[in-house]
Amino acid sequence: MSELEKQDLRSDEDLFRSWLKGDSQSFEDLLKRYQGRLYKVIFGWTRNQQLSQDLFQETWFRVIEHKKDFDPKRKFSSWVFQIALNLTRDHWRKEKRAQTDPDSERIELSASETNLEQALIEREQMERLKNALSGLSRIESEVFMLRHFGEMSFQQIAEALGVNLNTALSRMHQACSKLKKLAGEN
Amino acid sequence: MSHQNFEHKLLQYFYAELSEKDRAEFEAHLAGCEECRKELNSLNAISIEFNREFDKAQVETEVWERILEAAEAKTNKGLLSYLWPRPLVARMAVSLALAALLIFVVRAGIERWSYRHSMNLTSWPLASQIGLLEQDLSMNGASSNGTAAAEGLEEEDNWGIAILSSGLEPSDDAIDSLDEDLGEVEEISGGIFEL
Repeated sequence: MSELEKQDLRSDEDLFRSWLKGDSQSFEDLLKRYQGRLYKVIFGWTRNQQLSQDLFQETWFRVIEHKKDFDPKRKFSSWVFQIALNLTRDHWRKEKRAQTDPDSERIELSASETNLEQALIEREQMERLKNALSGLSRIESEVFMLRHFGEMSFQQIAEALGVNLNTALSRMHQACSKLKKLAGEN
Repeated sequence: MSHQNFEHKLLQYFYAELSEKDRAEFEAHLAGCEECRKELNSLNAISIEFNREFDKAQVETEVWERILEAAEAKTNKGLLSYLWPRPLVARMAVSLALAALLIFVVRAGIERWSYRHSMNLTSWPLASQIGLLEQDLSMNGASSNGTAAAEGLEEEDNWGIAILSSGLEPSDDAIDSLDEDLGEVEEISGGIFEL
């Protein structure tokens, strides 16, 4: 078994502990594991690329800053998504006060999207999904994104949100029902 | 089982969270329930569409680098981390510094060895002169004082200085003997003679 494969078998908690002991590479491995999951969750909540980048960065800054606060009895994923959720909720509170439109940002076309027609179709699809997500309440969005992209179990989500398992499942069901309608699946 | 229970089980089934027993039970239900099958297909379609679109969402390189820098700054570093830091540029700098130190040490060692080696060669005549002196002193029946002085005579360096290290004053006969054998011998200070 190669060293890379051995590392892949290490749990998130092992990697985090290894970083605490001074191994920088473990932190980088952990960040790689979460970059897709965590960023997508935050993007799904905010529907704003720049804001998502900022919140993603701030989440990891908090992890780094409060590394000694990590409870080894908890799962690392629950802790990191909880931090991201708290930061996003803080943003929502500020946003509510400022009354800004979270969907004001348009998705920029990437340089590789040379085919204008294709780019427009993709943009339209993304806009449709963003609109569908904007139709969810925040509590529905929280559960949907944490389960679908965060890959947290419903039990973990329930614990993170401080609700029981049935409530988490009900919110997810409501979210999926709305998305089916809003995304035009029905 | 209530309808809500099936809705919840369907979600848990879709995300592979059911136990083996519950999964088998739900699959048995699914086989006979068109509504649940339709619901499952819809869920699958949404999932595919979201996954496809969200796969484009990526963290910017600058953000990634800033996080790693912050982590590096807060990493508890052992001695080895300081001697062998992670960024490639830092490792190269440490390697160059170590190589330069090694070259310096080796060169200094070679120079010192060469110097000592040349000292031995140039001081050989003086050493033999001292040997002769000792021989002369004993043959000429020099005073016990002079003999003791000759036994304590040491080669100091190749600049032609001999030291009677015992600290005993040589007799006049012993000094005369030095003059005869080595030419001009001048006492610089007590027990130290310029040859």
